Amino acid sequence: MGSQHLGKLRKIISSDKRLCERIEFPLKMFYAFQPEPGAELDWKGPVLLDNIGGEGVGFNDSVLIAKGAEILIRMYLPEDSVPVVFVGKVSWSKLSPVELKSAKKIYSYGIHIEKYDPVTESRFLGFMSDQILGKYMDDSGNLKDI
Amino acid sequence: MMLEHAGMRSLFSGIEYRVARSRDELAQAYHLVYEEYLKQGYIHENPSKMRLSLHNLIPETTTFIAHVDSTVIATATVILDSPLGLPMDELYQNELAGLRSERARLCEVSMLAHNSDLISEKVSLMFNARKMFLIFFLFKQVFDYVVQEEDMDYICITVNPKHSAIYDSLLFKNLDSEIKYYSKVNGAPAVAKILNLSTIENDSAASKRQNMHKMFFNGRTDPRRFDEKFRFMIDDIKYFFVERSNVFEGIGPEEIKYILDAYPEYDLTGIIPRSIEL
Repeated sequence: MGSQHLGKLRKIISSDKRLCERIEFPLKMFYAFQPEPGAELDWKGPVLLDNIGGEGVGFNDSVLIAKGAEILIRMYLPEDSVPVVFVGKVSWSKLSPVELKSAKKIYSYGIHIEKYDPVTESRFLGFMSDQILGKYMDDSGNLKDI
Repeated sequence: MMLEHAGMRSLFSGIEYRVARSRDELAQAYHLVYEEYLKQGYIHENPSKMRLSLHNLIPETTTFIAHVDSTVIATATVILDSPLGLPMDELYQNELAGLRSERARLCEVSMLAHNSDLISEKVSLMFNARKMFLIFFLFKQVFDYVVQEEDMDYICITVNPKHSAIYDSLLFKNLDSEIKYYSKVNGAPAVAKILNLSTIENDSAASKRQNMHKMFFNGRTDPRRFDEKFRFMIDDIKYFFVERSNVFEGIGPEEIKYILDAYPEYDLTGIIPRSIEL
């Protein structure tokens, strides 16, 4: 393989522009708009996540949310009774293509995680890294060739 | 299989993880740490373009590398506790005293770096599979080494607080939650963490992170990867610690005595200045 491996490794890795892996995982989440001072949170959902990544989540819902809107996200990680809650911002939204012909409009959203507390961050990192490891390792802990 | 179309296994098949076995590998590791610390603003430029300290000269110190085609792309160094202490004693001596009073066997993982031209610092360690495996395979070597070969009780580490959550998710605990500032890295903030090696396997099993558990506890590193660790000869000591750095400047007589005792078969006259020998 000689010095070719490093060059090719460099080429492959540098061509990967993703900062974060995205995982399709059927998690349920709730969301709420930031309340007016003194008002209570009005949680909407549950909605099923389309995908989840280190930087954010994707989901579909019939409620129209403006791009740039800041929302609170609450979701339960598997086997975890305490939900993770973080602040997200709507990065993009579009009419869901599969629902275009439907009478009821469904929107797809990409939410960027804006901030979470350190404990939530640690739990979220643990969950995500475990999902990513699981995607690429077989039952024996060896790498899959995917 | 052509590497261009390689999956994760093929991609990593060409990367070898093991202890550094030659002067060149060690020099590359020290240079990599220097380059990456410089990019992070942790150190100033120096003519040697290497990052090393007296702890590297302790015979029990072990440098691990990930290398491809004779090029070191990631490294970490394990420093065992000794009369010289650990590098983190500069800030955390009082906190470590509690563990030492229990006769706990301590080591510090230090000089952790990877080639950021290969995988950018902007890429998240915990969210990007390639970066995660690159670093975790190195961690796995270090972990198995300190457990299998050195029978340590705790791995200690200081990390920038911005990376604190990563180590928390790897089940490290805070040795001290106070943020301190490291003069050795241009005053960068640091928090101290420890990993309890006597409880980690149970802690990991209970953490519900089954893939992380699989990564670190399914199978052990082939002990041959720990063989043939590079041992400094007199010329190497002169090269790294005199010609390429000024490590011996400003160190005390007790430190010098410890080093001289560690290499009783060497005549270090002219390498370690007589004026600071005991």
